[in-house]
Amino acid sequence: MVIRRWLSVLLLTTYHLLLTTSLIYSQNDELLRNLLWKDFLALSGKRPKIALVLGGGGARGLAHIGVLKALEEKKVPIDIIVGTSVGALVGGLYASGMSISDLEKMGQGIGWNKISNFSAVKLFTLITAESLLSTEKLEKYLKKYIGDKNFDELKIPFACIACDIKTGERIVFKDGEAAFAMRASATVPGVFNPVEYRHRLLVDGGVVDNLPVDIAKVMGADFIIAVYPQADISTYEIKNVMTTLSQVINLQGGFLTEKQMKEADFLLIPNVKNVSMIELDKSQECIEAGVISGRSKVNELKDKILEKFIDRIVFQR
Amino acid sequence: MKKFIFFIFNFQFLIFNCLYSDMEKIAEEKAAISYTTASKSKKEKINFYISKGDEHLFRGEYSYAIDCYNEARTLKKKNPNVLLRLGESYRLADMKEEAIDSYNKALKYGSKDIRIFLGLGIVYRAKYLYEQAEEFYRKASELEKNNTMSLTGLADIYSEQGKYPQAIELYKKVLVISPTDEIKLKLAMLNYLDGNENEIRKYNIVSGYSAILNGYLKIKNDPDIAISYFISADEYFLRAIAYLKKNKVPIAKKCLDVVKNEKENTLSKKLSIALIKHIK
Repeated sequence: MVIRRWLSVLLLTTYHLLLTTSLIYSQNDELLRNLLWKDFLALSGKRPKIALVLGGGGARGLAHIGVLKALEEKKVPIDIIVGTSVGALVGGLYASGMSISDLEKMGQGIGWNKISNFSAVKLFTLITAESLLSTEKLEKYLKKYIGDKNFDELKIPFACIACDIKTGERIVFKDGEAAFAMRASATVPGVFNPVEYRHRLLVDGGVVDNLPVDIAKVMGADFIIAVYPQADISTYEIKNVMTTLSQVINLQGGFLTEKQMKEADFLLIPNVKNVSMIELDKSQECIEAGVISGRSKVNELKDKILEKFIDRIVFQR
Repeated sequence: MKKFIFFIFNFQFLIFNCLYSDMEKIAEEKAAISYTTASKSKKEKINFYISKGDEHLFRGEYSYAIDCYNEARTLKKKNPNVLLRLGESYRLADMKEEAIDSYNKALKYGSKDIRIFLGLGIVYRAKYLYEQAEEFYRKASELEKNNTMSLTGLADIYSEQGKYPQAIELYKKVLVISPTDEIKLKLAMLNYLDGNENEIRKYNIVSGYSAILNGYLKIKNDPDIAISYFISADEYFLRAIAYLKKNKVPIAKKCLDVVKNEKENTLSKKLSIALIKHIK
């Protein structure tokens, strides 16, 4: 009996010893990371460009706000932003210079009535007479924050994706009026009226590319962080036109993003649990999921960046 | 191979013995408890379970402590004293949601014990919800102005959020109350991150971690001195950088090889492997 107790103590002591050793290593890592990160930021003009690619996902995409918050507080610079659908909305607003606290406030107060002509009557006519909603209100809403700014007037280089519903072509917006492009990128087909643009009819970019990592590369990114909020879609109830359509978009989006995810240098997947793409009232949960995802992974992200560019930091080239 | 089989056999024997010892211990204790509590009043039983739970908590046996406190709770549900202890046990057992629930119930039933606020601060910080953690640390420091745990917790939260000046102010307060090398190092590091490099000297201390910081600061201007700071194998990555600054590439490569062959997969090791590829 006494021997067994002693063996227990021995096992516990070994465990504590291993724990202490790993703690010392992690403190050393933290110190080294902070020192090197400051030198990485000091490369300024020579610093590699970091791009953030924000995927689509309706209400779930509000998690992007949380991710941006986590990256900003840990001093991860964002040099390029590319987005699809809600990723275009959040990304475009941030690229225009909107502060995280303003973005958070906006995200918390968002509703379908603010971004479309949604009402009980309109919903009834959408279902019975197939009359689609308009996103004109969304453009006005965006203009309230970023005005008539063109892409080249934004503080951070930005691009967003829409889809020509007639040809299935992917349309990449990199110039022109930003608010209009962001609106087109978030025009969910089957719910909103397509947006007319130079003889084209544009809908949500998520139809063809829900996570445009390749565009970030074209724009000169040296390191790409992709953000794609995911939920357990198998738990959703499929009970009407809206839920069926959103599930189709979920499934299709999943297939489309697989390849693009592999192309990214770092992937952040905020876990938005069972929030569906139409539940804008759950914005706070989504923002929180983004914050948690960003904060819990930011050290790993910094380590990846340092690993990739350690030669530039050491040799200052 | 023989050694390996011997090790596996012995290790399994050790685990088996420990588990068996634990099972015996549980059975013994349950019998003792039912014997001791049989003729006691409700109040005495609660106190008994609390003191039993405290013993387990003190020894780090959190699951046993939770069992005892839950027994006490079944006898009186609205007992903030038990709920606080339950919250502490859940927190230490890394059961975050249960800890939050217990702490909140303790608050609901009238307790204003500082440990509740500190516990909630720690749990929310572990959940990466810094805003909530800040709120509870703040409440804790309102209860006890000079409580170093609440001040350090709050400073840590500010530091995590990149609010360096606020974090520095709080650590300075902590340093006055309880001057430790750990706080000095934090102040030195935060001043470095905030661009106040002149302030770093004030908090110069002698420890392994400060050797990394002080050595790193010397790399650019005086790599020879920097080299003398980096002694342990884990610090050989920085030693290699110092040698690279002196253009002594072969020695730098040897240093990187040392880190590369280390067992632990540290950041130094990852960076050494990455840097070796760039050295001709």
